[in-house]
Amino acid sequence: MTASAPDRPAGGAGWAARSFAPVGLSLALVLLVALFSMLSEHFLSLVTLRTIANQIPPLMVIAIGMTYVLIIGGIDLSVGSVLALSATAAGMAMHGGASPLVAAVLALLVGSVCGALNGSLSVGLGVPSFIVTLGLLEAARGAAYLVSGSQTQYLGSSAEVFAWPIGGLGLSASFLVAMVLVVVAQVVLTRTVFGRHLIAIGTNEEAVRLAGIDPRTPKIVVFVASACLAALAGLFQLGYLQSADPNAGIGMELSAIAAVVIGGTSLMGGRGSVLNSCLGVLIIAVLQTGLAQIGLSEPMKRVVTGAVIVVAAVLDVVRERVASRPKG
Amino acid sequence: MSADRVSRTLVCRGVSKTYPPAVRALDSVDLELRPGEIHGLIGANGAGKSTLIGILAGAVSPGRESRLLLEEEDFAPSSVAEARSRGVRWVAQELRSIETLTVAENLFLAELPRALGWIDRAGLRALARDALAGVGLEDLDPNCPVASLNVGERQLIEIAGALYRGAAVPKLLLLDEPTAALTTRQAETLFERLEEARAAGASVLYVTHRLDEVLRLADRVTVLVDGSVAERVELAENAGLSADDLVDMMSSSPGSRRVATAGDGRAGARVPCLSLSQLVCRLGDPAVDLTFSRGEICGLFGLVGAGRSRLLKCLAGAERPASGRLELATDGQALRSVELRQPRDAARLGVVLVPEDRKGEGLLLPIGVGGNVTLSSLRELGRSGWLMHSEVKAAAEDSVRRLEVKCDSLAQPIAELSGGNQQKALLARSWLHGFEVLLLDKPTRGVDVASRRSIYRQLQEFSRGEPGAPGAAVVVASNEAEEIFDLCDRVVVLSAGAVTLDARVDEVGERELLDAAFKYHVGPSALPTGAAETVAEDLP
Repeated sequence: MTASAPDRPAGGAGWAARSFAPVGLSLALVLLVALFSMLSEHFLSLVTLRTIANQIPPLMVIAIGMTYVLIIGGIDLSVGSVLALSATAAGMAMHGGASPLVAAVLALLVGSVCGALNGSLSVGLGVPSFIVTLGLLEAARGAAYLVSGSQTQYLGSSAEVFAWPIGGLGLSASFLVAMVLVVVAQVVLTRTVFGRHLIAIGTNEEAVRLAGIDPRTPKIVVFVASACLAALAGLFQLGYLQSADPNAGIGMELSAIAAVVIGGTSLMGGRGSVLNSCLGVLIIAVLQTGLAQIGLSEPMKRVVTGAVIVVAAVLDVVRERVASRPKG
Repeated sequence: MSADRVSRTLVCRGVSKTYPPAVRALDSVDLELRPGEIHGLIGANGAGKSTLIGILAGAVSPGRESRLLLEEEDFAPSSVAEARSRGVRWVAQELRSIETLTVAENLFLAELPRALGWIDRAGLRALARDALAGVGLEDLDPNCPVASLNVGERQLIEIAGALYRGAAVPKLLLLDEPTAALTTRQAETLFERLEEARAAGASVLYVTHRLDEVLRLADRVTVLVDGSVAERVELAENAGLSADDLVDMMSSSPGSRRVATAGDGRAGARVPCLSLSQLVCRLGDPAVDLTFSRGEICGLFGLVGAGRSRLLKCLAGAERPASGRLELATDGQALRSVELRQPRDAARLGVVLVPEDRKGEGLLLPIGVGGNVTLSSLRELGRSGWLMHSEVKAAAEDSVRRLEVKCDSLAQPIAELSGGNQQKALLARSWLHGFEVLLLDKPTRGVDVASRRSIYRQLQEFSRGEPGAPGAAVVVASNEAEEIFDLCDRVVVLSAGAVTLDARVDEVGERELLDAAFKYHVGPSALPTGAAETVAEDLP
C-alpha cells in the first residue's frame, strides 16, 4: 500500500512527486517522438515503429529482471554474457538437429543454472552481487566462445520461430511476449506478497529478517529470474538475427541498468517499477533510432545517450528531494 | 595569561541538552574543574554522563542556555577539531579507530606529519613509538594494522593518542569508560599516566562504572542523576567513603520504592512458557538459566554492555547461541526443546522481538505506516500469495487503532512519525502477527512520556491476556530502574552476562538493582572468568 499509495490524501508534495515518474517518463517519450518527427520526415512511420518494436524485446525482458534485482539492493552484471551463452547453447543444439522447443528449454536451463550460481553465492555466502555477477560476466562469455568455437552459427529460417512475425501486424511474437511479461512482472511486484517482500527487503533487509521473514529465498529467486529472462532475451536475439553469436549482448547489462535507472528505480534498493523501466527502454530505443535517422554519427549518438542517462538520474534526485521535503 | 592566575580549567554553567522531541538528557548542570585535578563523573545509565562529555569534546551541541568557559575564556566548540585545538582531548566510550589504517596512522590521523605534502613515514613512526611507550605498548609495531589488535589494545591506542603531548600540553582530558576493555595491568599503566598528567597541571574528567577506580584516582566526584547534579564530593574530606555509598548517591530515591500498579490485583496463573537452561550466548559468556511465564512482565536490567540485547536476540533466533537449551511451551503444547535457526523459526512459534535499534533493525523508513505494521503478516493476510488490499488495509487500520499509533494516513512514511509512534507501530506489527512471548529491547528509548504510558498500558494488557486468550510472556530489557518498577512484575539483573538478581519487583528497591548490576563491573579483578571478553565484545 505504499508504491501505489491509494489511501494518501491527494495533493501533498509527496503524492505529486510519487506520481510524477510514469507521467514524466511518458511525457519525455512523447516529446522525443515529436522532436524526431520534426527533424526527420521518415521517423513517424509504421516502418520505424515496427523496427523499434522488433528490436527492443531482448533489452525489455532483461530490464524487467534488472528492475527486480535493483529493487532488492543487488545488481546483475552477467545478463549480457548469460544471453550469449544461452543463445549459443540453443544454437548449437539446433545446429545438431534439436527441435526449437528442446533448444529453448536448454537455453532456459542454462539461464537457471547461471542465476542459481549468482543467487547462492551472493545471498548464501554474502559475496557482493556486483563481484559475483562480474565474475560470471567473464566466465559465461568465455563459456559462450567455448560452446560455439568462437564462431557465429547461422541457423537460417529454422530459428525464425522465436521471432515469429504475427500475420498482418508485422510485429514479432517476441515483442508481444515481452509486453505480457512487463505486465505480469508489474502485477507480481505490486499485487503479491512476494513483490511486497522484495520492496521491504530492499528497504531494510535486517528489519525484514527480524520481522520473521526469511529474506534469502526471495533474493535467490530474483537472481534466478533475472538470468532466465536473459536466456529468454538470448532466444529472442537468436530468432531476430537467425544466428547464434557468441558476441551477442556485449554491454547489454549497462543498457539495461541505464533503462531501469531512467525509469526511476533506485540503485540503493527498495524502490522501482517495471512499467517505468519499460518506458526507460522505449526512451533509449527511440533515442537510438531517432538519432540514427537524423544522421548523427555513432560517436555523437553515444554522447547524447550518455547525457540523457545522466539528466534522467539528476531529475530523479530532484524528485526524491521534493518527495522527502518535510511538509508545512 | 600566567598559569597561576587560572584557578579553574573549566567552568560549566547551566549546561542542558534536550534530544528531540522531548528527552531531557542534561538539565542545568554546573561543574568546575581545577588544574591538576582528576574529577570523577558517575551516574546510572542514561544519567547524562556521555552527553556532558560529548558537549565538552565538541561532538554534541549543547542547549542554548548553556555556558562554558575554558581557562576563563568562552568555549563553544562547534567540532571535535576545534575543541582539540583548544587543548581538549577526548577518549570516547566506543572505539573509533579505523581498522584498515596502521597504528601510527590512527594515532596521528588528525595531524599526520608531512614533508612536502607527503606523509613523513619515518617521523610518523618515531612519534608513534614515543606515544605507544607512554601507555606501555612499546613492543607494538606502529606499522601493523589496527584490525590485528584486540579490543584492549585498540582502547589503549585511543588513550595514547589523547595523552600524547605533541606540541602542546593537553589542558583537559575527557575519558569515557577508558578501562572497560583493559586488563588490570593495562589499567595500572593508564592510572600512572593520569597521575603524571595531573602533576603536570592538566584536568581530567573521568567517567566510569568502576567505582573503586574513582575512589582511588579522583580528587572530587560529581554524581549525576537523571541529567542533574545530585551530589558533589571532595574525596579528601571523606576518606571513609565506600563504593556502596556512591551507589546510594546514584539512586534517584533511596530505599525500596514501588510506583505503579503493574501487577497489582492481577488474576491468572503464571504458566512457564520459555525456559533457558545453561544458555551461553557467545563463547566465553557465563551460562544463563531463566524461565519466563505467561501473564508476567519480566524486566531485564543491567549496565550498558551487560549482554541483555544479545540474550534477547538469542531468544528470538536472531543470533545462534553458542550452547545450551531453549524450551518453549507455545501453540498449546507442553514445554519442548526447540532450535531457532532464524527469526522466522521463532516467529512461527510465537516468539517475537521488538529490536532496540528502531531505525536500523525495525522500521522500513520510507515506507508507509500501513506497510510497516503489516510486514510480518502479509502472507497470512494474503490469499495464495496474492495481496488482498482491502484485508491488508483493514488489518492495518485495526492494529493502528488498537495500539493508538497517531498518523495522518496509512500511507504516511513512517520516518515522519515521532519515536513514540514509531515504537507503537512496531508493537502493532507484533500484535498483528500474534505472539505468545514478546521480547522488547529498550522499548521506550527516545519515547515521550505520553507514548511511554500508552506503551506500558498495552504491554500490561498483552501480558494479562483476554478472556479465552491466555496472556503472553513479556520480557523488557531496560536501562532505567524507574521503568522496571513502573512496568514489570519481576526483574532479572544481568551483570557482565551473568544473572545476579532474580526477584519480584515489590521485594527489591533501586538500590538492590544497582548493586546487582554493578556486581561484576566494580573492578577488573572482580570479573568472573570470561566476563572480560563479554564487556569488550559488547563495545561497538
